[in-house]
Amino acid sequence: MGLALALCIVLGSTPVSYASEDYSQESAYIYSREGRAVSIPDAYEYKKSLSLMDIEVNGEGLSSAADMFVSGSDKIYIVDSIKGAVVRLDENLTVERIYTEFILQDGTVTTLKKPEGIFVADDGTMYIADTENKRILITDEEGNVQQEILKPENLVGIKLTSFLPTKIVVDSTGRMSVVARNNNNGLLQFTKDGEFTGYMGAPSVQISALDKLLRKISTDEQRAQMQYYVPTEYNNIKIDEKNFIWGTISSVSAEEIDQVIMYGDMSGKVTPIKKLNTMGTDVLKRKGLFAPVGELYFGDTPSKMTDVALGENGIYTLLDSYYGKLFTYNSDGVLLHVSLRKGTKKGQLMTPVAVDYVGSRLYVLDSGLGQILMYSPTTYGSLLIEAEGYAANGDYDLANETWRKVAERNSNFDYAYVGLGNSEYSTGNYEQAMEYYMNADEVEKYSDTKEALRKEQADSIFPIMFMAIILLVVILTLASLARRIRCYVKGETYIQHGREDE
Amino acid sequence: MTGLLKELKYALYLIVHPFDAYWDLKHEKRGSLRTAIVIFILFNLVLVAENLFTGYIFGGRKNVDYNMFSTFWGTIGVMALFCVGNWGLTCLSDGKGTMYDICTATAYALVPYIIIHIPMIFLSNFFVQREATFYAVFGMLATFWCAFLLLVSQIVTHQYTLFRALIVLFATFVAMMAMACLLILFVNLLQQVIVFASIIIEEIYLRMKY
Repeated sequence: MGLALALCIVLGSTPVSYASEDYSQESAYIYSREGRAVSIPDAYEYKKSLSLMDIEVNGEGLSSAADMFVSGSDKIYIVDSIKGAVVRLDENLTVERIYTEFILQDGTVTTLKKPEGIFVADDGTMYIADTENKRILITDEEGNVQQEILKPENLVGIKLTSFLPTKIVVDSTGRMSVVARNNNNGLLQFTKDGEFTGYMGAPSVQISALDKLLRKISTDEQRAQMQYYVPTEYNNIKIDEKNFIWGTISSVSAEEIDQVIMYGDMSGKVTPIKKLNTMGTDVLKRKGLFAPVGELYFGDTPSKMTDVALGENGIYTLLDSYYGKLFTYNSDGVLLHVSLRKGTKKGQLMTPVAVDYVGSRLYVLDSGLGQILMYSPTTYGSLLIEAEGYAANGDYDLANETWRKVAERNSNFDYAYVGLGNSEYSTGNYEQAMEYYMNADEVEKYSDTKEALRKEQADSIFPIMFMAIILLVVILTLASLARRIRCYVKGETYIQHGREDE
Repeated sequence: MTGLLKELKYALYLIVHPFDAYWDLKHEKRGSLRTAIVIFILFNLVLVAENLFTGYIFGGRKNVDYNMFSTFWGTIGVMALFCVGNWGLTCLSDGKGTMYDICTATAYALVPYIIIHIPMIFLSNFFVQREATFYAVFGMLATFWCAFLLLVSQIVTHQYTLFRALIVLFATFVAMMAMACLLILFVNLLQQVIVFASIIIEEIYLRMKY
């Protein structure tokens, strides 16, 4: 609330009520330029769910789903931690196969102990983070173990000297990136053959100059009493088709997030989501009104992002397990909609743990409800996805039409006008684009468009101006020449124009 | 009318030769309160025009319920506070200027703002953000020029040294704030007295009626 008041003072607006307090418990919303929650049409519609209790393993239902993964062939894989089972479902939530036992290369049977993560390659190879067994299992579709990665011998920097992998992704070249518990050096990197090569994308720690000084002059006992500066660790990772690794971080403090929102910090130094390239640098675009941090107004707890779903046309959805909401952003980091709520109604969430897209359909795994919930986009939701796609592909006419439909359905959505402006700009219709940008209050884009328009106008005026100047010079020269000749004929001395006084 | 034009022309001379011109303004009667009022009205009109016609990039989206009288009352209030505050302070500290002199000299100091901001309104409709620095430089030029003229007007009208003029100007701003504070307090208290009185009258009226 302190932040809310401070923001009000900064923005000079009257205090308003915010989403987490008394905003409609049902509808989707976005944040306006002033940071107010504005109601918008719903983007997702609850379709159906599957109760995990109905999937029986050894006579008992599943009760502790830990991770969900959607493979390239649209199969859904669920890992149950306590039962140590992997379940494969098709996209209509029908159980296809349950794996509980795996056969090692020497023929012995092995089981999983509290596994927490799974990744499935396009060919069906499963990479299971078998957490309590301190290993990564790589098995084929039939459950035959192809490789077992134990704690690497050259591993450095993990406390408790144990290797507890929780999440894993594999890129198209077979390189594995692993999140391990009690490790804050970043993602562990393994080659295709299971050899540990080092860490990547360690979240940075900021220590102020004052803290550094204090640390330097204090005694060892004092130092021991001081708060540790522990870098944040990833809690979940995903990989996209271009081998960018998306990592969510939940250990960001409320104060840090407050600062980011207050100062419009787009540097991504404090962020619950990162998009890492192969060098481990964060390349996520943050061009929206606010950086993608989830909830803007919270009491003491900011959004706790536990998973990210990578959808079509660069759209991604962050799963906030604390507030039970889905924050959907486009590829530029513009907030498209905030959907769902925590609640007990049908289609609402309790303790969501994982989220994923199959096409445009969204699946949420909720361990509290013990369900997988399936949502499909509403007309409004699919319009947004389409518009993003058209804009990215350069289909400006279609993009224009789609953004217009979006604006018709939701006039509170500034970004629709930006989209309209962009498509008008691309077709060279600068004046119309300027009007749309003004509607969306996009000064920068307005200015760029105006510059382009001005240049165009200058280009058309320049030849005329040039001709006019040449003509003027010629006329003046001729006039003075005529005067000179007249003086010569009359026999007077020629006096230059304007110098009569001398 | 010709006198007014002549005096306005003199104002243009004043802004480039402030020391000479302020002296003549006071001692040779080359300016008048009438012209000062005209300048002040022009200044107000420029402010209104700025609110209405500044381009979107520099002025933002137009405020649909803009009221030009809010601008008028604001400038008149600040001007009145400044003149009264300055007069009060300079009276106490050996200032040679009268109230008439102070009002005239202060209004004449606004001329650069008028001259620079009129082209700025036009330019703001052609400039883009890349040229925002030029625009800002123009604005700053106007402000500093006016501030300089105000300082010179203090030095010349009251026959002060530079240092003393600076101190008096600073003190004037403090005085303005104090006066504004007292005014608000006064209005507030007066309002309460009025409410109190009206309630008593109403009470008496009702008792007499029934």
